[in-house]
Amino acid sequence: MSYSQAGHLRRRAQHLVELAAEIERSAVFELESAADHGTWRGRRPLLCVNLLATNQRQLHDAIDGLRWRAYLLEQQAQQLDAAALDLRSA
Amino acid sequence: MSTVPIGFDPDGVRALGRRTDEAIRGLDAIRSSDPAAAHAMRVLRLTRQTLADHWMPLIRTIESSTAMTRWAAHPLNLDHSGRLRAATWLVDTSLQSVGPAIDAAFAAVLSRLDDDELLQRLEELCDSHARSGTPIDPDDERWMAMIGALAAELDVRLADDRDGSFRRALVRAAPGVPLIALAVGPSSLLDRSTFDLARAMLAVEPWVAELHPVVYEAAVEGLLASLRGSPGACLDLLADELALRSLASWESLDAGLVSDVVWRGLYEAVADEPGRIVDGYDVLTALTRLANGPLDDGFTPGMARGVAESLVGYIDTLAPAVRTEGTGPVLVIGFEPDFETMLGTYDDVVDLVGAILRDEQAQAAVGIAIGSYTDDVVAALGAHVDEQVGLEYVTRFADLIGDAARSEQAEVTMAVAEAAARRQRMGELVGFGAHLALGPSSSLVGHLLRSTSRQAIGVAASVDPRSGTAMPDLSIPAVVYDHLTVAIVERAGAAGATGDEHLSQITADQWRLVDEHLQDIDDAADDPVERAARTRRMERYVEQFVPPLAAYLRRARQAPNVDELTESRSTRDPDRPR
Repeated sequence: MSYSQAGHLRRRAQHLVELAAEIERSAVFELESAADHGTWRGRRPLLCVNLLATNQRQLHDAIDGLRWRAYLLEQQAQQLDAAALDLRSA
Repeated sequence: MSTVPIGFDPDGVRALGRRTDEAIRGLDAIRSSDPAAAHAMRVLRLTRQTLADHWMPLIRTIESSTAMTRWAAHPLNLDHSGRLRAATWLVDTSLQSVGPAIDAAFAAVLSRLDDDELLQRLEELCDSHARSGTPIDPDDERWMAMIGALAAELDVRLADDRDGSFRRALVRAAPGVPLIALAVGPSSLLDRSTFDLARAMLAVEPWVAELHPVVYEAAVEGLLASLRGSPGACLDLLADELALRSLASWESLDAGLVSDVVWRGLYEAVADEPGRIVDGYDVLTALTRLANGPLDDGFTPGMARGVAESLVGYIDTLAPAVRTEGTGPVLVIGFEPDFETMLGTYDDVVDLVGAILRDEQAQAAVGIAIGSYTDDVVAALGAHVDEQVGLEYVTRFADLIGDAARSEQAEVTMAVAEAAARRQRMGELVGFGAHLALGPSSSLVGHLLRSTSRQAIGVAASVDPRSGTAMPDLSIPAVVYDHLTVAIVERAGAAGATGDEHLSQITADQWRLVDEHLQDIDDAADDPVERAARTRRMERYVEQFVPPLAAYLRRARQAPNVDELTESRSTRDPDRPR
């Protein structure tokens, strides 16, 4: 029972890690290089760039959060494995 | 009427439109139904909204505007001599008017000056603005254009500066000419100049910065933002006592930026290079001196948060150094690397923690550190928690924090954060090396500390202090005592399973009821008042109905200092000034 639960947790952890990497690769992180003063300037462009910078910071936090949750799920999977092993040897 | 300068590059804007569209489609393609990804998906939607509701409409407006067709015919798009005249006039008239081509014109003026003339001209410009009461405004787009041109010019000269003489001249001049740092900070790749300029600009008397209001601060913040890219450079900066004092006392510097620099220096630099823990402790020693001298009123919120968040790395070497109260020395002894650092006396360190605890986020971070450490020590003892080794480190450090806390609200915030650390098993975060080889990265540790702090502050704000005897003691010593009680009872279950002869007398029904009490306590994790009450109920149940477990609990509590943690339970007077 716990082996299948551990497997489920590992699959979730793997999914979260892949999701974090997918977000990290997003083109949204490369936009500011095309939106510098050579492209546009003024108060509205500045507002756009600042809003995006805020979103990028939030995305980085979210990416960190996904990896942390993946790490915890992996830890839980290991504990389930260990408990199942104890049970079998007992 | 003043006008806001605007400018667009038609090809660039078209390319930007294509890339924004691609980014939106890319965001749309990212999907997840995992509940743990809910927050990330919300942020993705917010980001998409920014691009769809702000970026695309502006890009479409620009593409259909005639402004782009007038770009080439702008009145300031002059020939070479005209640009030079315009730029000279610009400097002399303090930027009363400017157009999109002015940065190029200004750059041409700058490039004609030799190094000494350049610095002299910039100094005159800053002086004239300081005297005239019309300060340089780094957020004004006309100044931004000038600063961009200056940044490019400084980059070129620094690249050619083989003997370092220009860099040294820049650093000497920087405190009087904040335009220099304003240009170098955000525009250059992090290098020696950034670090030297940051140190020079921070190591001044406050009146020097006040000569150039706004711009000096913006310049320092730009340099600090660049320095964040190098945790080692952040630690080097903190190791400069004058710079450290400025960061700990300059109230108007951006607190988030300062806390980030302090975190990167005190935590990330040491996590990257464990040998630098010695430098980290030197910084803590300097801060202890400041807290007992010129900064005995407390540190800036940014410094307080940065130090408090970093505590989770230092606590496993710091706590064992806390031994006797009063004038007893706090001598930190480390292994791998081997080092000894005298932080100060117990009272000195109480003042250091007191200087940190005046900020709410710092209070939460300190609560997390002690909660994580308690969790770590108990987990290391495992089923042998009744052998007590190491518990006294927890109890003495909890006492020290209790001595440093100055307000009841701070205690509540720390209590909630302490419980959150236990619930989230944050004991794994303690130290710099022991758990991290296969564990979370520094940025993950930082993220977790900050998000847990935010949640704890939110919960603490909703705690309703009860009057008189109904309000339990939520001081850190009392909270840590409860944490130990719960942890010891949990460990007893494991010890019973492995054949402890006394604990094996406990019946299955008794264990079931103990488990129910533990579950009740966990369910009240977000309510420190209720949590304390439920812990009391479990203690009473164990004492009256499960004698072998009560005996095990008593053995574990015989560790030095444990019972002293509860002194204030009986003596606490809610009206007592704290």
